[in-house]
Amino acid sequence: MRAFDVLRTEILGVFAVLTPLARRTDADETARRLGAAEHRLRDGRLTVVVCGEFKRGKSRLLNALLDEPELFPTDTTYATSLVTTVTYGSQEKITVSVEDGAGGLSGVPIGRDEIRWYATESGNPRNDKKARLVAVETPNPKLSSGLTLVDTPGVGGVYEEHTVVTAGFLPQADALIFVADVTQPLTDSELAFLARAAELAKITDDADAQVFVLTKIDVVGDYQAMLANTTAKVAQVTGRQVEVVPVSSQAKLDYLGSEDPEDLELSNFGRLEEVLWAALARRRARLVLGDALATQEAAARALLRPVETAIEALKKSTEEELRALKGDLAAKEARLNELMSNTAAWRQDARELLHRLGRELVRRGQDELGQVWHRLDTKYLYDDDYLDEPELLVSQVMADVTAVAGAVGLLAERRGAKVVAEISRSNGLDLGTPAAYRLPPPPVPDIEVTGRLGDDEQAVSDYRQVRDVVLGSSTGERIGGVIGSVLGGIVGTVLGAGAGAVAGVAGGGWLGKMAGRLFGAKAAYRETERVTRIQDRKARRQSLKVELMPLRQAQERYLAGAVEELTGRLTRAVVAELDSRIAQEKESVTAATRRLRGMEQDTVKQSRERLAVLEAERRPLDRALGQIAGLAAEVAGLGGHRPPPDMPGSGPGAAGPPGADG
Amino acid sequence: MLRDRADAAFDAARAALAGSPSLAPVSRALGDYADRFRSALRVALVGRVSSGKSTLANALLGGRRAPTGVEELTFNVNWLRHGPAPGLVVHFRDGRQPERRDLADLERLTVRARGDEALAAYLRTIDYLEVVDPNPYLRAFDLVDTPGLDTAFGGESGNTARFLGRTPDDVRAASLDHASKADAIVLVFARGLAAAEEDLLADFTGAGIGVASPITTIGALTKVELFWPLHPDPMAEGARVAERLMEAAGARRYLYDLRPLASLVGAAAAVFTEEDFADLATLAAAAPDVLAGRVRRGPLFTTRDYPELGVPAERRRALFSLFGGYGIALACELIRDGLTEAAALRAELLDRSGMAGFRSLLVGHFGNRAELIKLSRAIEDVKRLPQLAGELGPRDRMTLDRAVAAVTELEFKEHAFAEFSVLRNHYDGLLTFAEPEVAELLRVTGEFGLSLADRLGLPGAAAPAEMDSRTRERLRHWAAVDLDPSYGGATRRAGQVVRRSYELMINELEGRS
Repeated sequence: MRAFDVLRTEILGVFAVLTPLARRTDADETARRLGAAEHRLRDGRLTVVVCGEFKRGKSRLLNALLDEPELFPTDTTYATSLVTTVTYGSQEKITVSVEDGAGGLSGVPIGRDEIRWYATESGNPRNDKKARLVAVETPNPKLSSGLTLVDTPGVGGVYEEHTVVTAGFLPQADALIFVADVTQPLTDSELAFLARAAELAKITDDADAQVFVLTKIDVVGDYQAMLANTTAKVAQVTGRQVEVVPVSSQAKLDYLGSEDPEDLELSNFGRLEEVLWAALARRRARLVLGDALATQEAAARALLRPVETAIEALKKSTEEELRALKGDLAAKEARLNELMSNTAAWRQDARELLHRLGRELVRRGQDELGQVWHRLDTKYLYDDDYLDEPELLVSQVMADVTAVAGAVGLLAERRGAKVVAEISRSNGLDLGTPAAYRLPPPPVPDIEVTGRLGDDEQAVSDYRQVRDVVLGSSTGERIGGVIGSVLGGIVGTVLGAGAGAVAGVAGGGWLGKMAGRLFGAKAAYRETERVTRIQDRKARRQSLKVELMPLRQAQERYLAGAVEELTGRLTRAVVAELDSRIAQEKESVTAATRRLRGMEQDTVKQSRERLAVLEAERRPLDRALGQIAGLAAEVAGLGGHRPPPDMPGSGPGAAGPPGADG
Repeated sequence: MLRDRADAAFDAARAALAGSPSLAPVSRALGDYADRFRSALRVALVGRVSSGKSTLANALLGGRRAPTGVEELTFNVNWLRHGPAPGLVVHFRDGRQPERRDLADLERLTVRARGDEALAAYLRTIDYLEVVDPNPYLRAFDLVDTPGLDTAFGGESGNTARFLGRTPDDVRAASLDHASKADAIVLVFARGLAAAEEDLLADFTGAGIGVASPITTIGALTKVELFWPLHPDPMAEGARVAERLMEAAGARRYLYDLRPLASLVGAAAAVFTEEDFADLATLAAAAPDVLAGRVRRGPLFTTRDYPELGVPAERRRALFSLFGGYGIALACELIRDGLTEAAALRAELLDRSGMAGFRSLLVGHFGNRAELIKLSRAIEDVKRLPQLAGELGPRDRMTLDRAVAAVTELEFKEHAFAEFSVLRNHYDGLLTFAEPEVAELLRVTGEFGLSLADRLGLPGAAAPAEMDSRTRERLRHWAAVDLDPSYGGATRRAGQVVRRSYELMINELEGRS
């Protein structure tokens, strides 16, 4: 946990050096880029979603992770029934989003004690209060570096909307903690959930972001059998080697009071945090920190160029050498002017690449959608529980499809980042490339955050959504609107406004809208559903297939439309980012030219004095670059963690006397 | 007795059918029903996989009849019935001759085959295992331990079952099959709270176990010991949870009662040895807060070197796997409070774990009404015979109707059925009696024992005169209830039934003297 915190603080320290330097030298574009990157780093979130069956101890695990025994209600008769998010805030602020009856949500401020009256089944039976989401901001130091924890209701439960919402933002999560416990082996519904999560992770190649936990080890004398049992099952459904971390939330909470090292040891939270942070580092931490470092390096080099050029010029002895230097700068400036023009070739290239990406994403989405419906045809329709409750079947399909939409959105984000990196490289704009450190290309900054371009388009699409919701005649559209805003709200909360993620997915707006439409179609289906319960299995299967056909078609249509919209926004963001990079370069070259011009009339004495000033000016920049290089190497090394202790027989208290078995 | 009159009715019915060869299949079916009625009441333990059914069976019988463990274990249905000598009989699914086995094989035949393919194949051919046991408790009824219904709505269900080496349908079907053949059911809940209260009984009511009603179904909330140490008195917390569940929508419609049980403690009470007792006494000598602090860290308690506890890790490990953390803490507390005999500790643990009360609840609720529950089921079966018989000539049809009537008329002739229907109405919430009347209604209909004294709420040694005066006094009370204009409909009729019950008791008392 320290590693990320420390690196983040040091990187913030570099901003504190570079930004004033940029301001002082009137490097406006550089200063603006640094400001935006710092904002992204400060607001960037590392999202951890906790999933598992009811009463497995998810809320208690979160309390233990945060050293807050009583944040989430954990009474024996309470079960969490709402999605709850926790983020850092300088003052505690808890907001519950409640349906306002007009198809929207309104936020109600509540106190800690009141969480249970909204977020638990016993406090809010059947969710009579129509609450949708509880968002907690609290000044917990463990959250200060941008960690966001999300508590979810049990998987495979009856809350279809929550299942859909959870599935939708799952791909946006940076790590997933799946909670099992020693008192009850994993059940079918849990394993089914895991299997789907594993498939989802394959779309975006993030299988290693899942962390598995076996809680409540304090209540048994020997948990090795259950550990082996759980590990075997998880390995079977996810198809890979996994480490299940045995922990005791109770012991961790006990430790807060007792400070007995045995409590801490038994809790095994050290190992859990290690594994969790390794998962976070592999995925998002490197991205968030790498983004800031890349911007810093580019900025430092842009600021260094005028100083370096001036020093070089002072050292040149002949007129000819000086002319060559000036000629070089002039040529660079001419090329940058070319790149800035509206007819520059890279603009066409970018549009081309993104257009191709859009087509590929649609195809990918259709493929994954096909998988979902294939699963329906070959599995769900042969499951009696689903045949008896077609509502659940449709909910499950909706959850699957929403998950696909979330994964496609994430894929778009990552591929967009690659496009920026590629075009930058081929146009000589790749100052401060993180590739040298094997860091992923930083995400394309959101247009709103960079402040480029007007937001008209955004406003138009928001208007369209409002219109869809208001004018849609079916209740489906209205319900969909609520689901969409809940999902959008969660994604917005967990990623943070300036998360550095791209165009739309970051704010949750796009995904929320997508889910809203999908769910709207589902609810509309519900209204027309006329399956008679007495039909025999085969006939019912057939009739369900026929009845669901329009739903599938609607999904394909929505997905294609949504991807097109997303690609459009992505294209604008990519172009804006590249324009900004060019502007920074231009600014740097212009400043260098200006410096040279200012030195032309210098006397020898003046030159000597000037050199000393320049060397002094150069020092902090060199130091910053050295620091950035060191930090980048460290960031690149994040995520490598020590392998799990030898299996089997791992975890606290594992070394039982030989021959004794439980 | 009811039993004799029912036997006579079955005999009469079969005699009526004897002359008609075309009715021979019906006669055979009738014979099966009669046999079924004469055999012991079957109580099935039903619940999710790993909800603690086997531990509960062991705790009920006071021994290690069924293998238990933390993983999903029970592979086959275990049918525990009373017999003079312990034994094990394997019944196969393909109708093969049952096979007698040594009781020592039970564990091998019940627990999942862990990679042994040949054994797994053999296990799959088994229908159920019949375990004969001389335990007097089994005199009241047979106990059927099922592998477990797995969760509904499992999506790609079946991993749990596959883990056991069987297909999901198999395990579920076997459990359901035996549950639906049972006369009464103990529903076992382990987690303490289902996904939502509405879901609580969905697995069971939705699974097609027709007999689920408060007369035939009792709930057990197991693993309550796990509420400790968070709750110093886990039984009280269990009672709180159970009450919540019962109050929640629907539970009371299906369950007679939901009892919190520290089943592991109850099971340990019966089987701990003198050596275990001595070790517990040594642990009890340690400072209570030191001991509690150590015990609540299970995996360390069982492995670490703690000289101050005076018991080596290996032995602590054995104690923990037998008693669990709460069991050790409770036993040590009892020893500290002055229990010096193993037998006294046994009795106290049985009591404090809720097992003693649960046993008498089962005997009272099921055992005492066994005849009635079974007969009512038999009558339902017999009523369906005319439909099953298919096309018949007018003469055969008449013969059959006469035979069926011989059995089904018991429903009208026997006062016990009137009492039974009052009970049903009570559990369906149709009666408006106050608390004392309800208690009396349950007592009169045999909840707390079948003897006259039991039904009158008098000690077993009560003199006839005392019983007589009590009966007459209660009769007057219920006669007044009958006249009370504030009672209407079902409640009024129920009052009349109770009044009639007292009248019959007077007849019985007069018959004796």
